[in-house]
Amino acid sequence: MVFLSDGKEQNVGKLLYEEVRRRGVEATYISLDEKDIGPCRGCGSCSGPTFGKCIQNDDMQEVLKILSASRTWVMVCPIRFGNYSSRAKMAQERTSTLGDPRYYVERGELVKQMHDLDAFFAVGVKDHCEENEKDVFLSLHRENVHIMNVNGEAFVVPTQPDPQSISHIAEVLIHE
Amino acid sequence: MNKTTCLQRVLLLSASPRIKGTSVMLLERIRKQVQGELVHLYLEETETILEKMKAAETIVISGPCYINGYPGALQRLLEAAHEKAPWEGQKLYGIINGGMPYVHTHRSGVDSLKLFSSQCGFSWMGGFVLGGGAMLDGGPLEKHLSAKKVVPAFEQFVKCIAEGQPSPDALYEEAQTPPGKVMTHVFAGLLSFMMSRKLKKYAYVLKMRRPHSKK
Ligand SMILES: Cc1cc2nc3c(=O)[nH]c(=O)nc-3n(C[C@H](O)[C@H](O)[C@H](O)COP(=O)(O)O)c2cc1C
Repeated sequence: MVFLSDGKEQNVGKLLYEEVRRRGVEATYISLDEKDIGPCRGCGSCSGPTFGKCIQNDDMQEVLKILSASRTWVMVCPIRFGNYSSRAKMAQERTSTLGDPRYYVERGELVKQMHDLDAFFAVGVKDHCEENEKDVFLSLHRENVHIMNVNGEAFVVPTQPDPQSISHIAEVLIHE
Repeated sequence: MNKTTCLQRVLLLSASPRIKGTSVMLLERIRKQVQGELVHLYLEETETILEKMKAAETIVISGPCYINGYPGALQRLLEAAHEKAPWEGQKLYGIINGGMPYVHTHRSGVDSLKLFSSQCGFSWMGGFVLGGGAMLDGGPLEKHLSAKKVVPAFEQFVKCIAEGQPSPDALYEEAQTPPGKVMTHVFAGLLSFMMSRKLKKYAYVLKMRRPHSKK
């Protein structure tokens, strides 16, 4: 299990990581706010001449190595306009490098697939998050798991979640 | 359309790293009817773009769908714009285009832009979601699989921009018919074949699909 956490304004990623470790699950914590990760340039190299490899030389190279060896990814970041924070979003789009370039049909629709991924979870952090913003975040994640053809759930929590919510989310992550 | 009735100071912002891609093609199409400055997010400094946004009366953002939303680079710009809130009610329209021929898979992009708009003090005027945009690869909208419905819908959207009117979601929602069951399988097979053939050219052979694990 890998935690991709934009931890500049939230500590929830760390808390969750520690919680699953306490329960004996092997996990890696990646602090996106300490990494230099640029946006995808849409160059198409990873689905062509350098298949499966990104040609942008930044910290995403080591992150991709860690992600490709893991079957569960957990994104934890502040919610911004119902979306992932830009730091989290840029890392997420760069994971396309690890995708199967082919197309599949799932529930009657064209979908893609990540090579060796089983589950993608998202934990959005925001205090007093309004219902409509929560809805946009949850449906974004629902679309993510559909197109990547993986399992996973999304959660919205405040910056200071109570211990029960942390243990509940950890429970869900572990049982995947 | 009479250009003189069009709004002045329109900023057409491309949120794609591809300078000749579909996002830009759509903005060029708008520019034929609405005078405006075309700016590339990936080629300019954030501060420069924010200043141009400040000076504009109307802003049209057009970007690709990257995993069900606009690219992270646009999100970074929006976060920087949020720091400068409140804005002065500039009109904001958003276009998102992606490869998959469905609306639902791309719409989080415009839903999020709408939230940005209300949280920062812009006036949200509507979005346009275009599935099946990757196949165009920057080519004319007339080549779109649903061109018969998509072209007039997009023209209507441009008219809304030109007249400063809100554009209803129904415009794009009703313009696209997803492919039927048979065509879906045909597309999947054809696109996969094309990908495999392209990779073979670079001497990569795809391994079998991983054992299915989704519950
Ligand atoms: C990193 C990345 C992620 C993408 N994710 C999606 C996606 O989730 N759904 C989709 O339909 N297309 C996806 N695409 C395809 C682009 O949306 C599509 O090619 C689009 O037409 C590009 O627009 P442009 O030419 O303006 O850059 C993705 C492309 C890239 C590079």
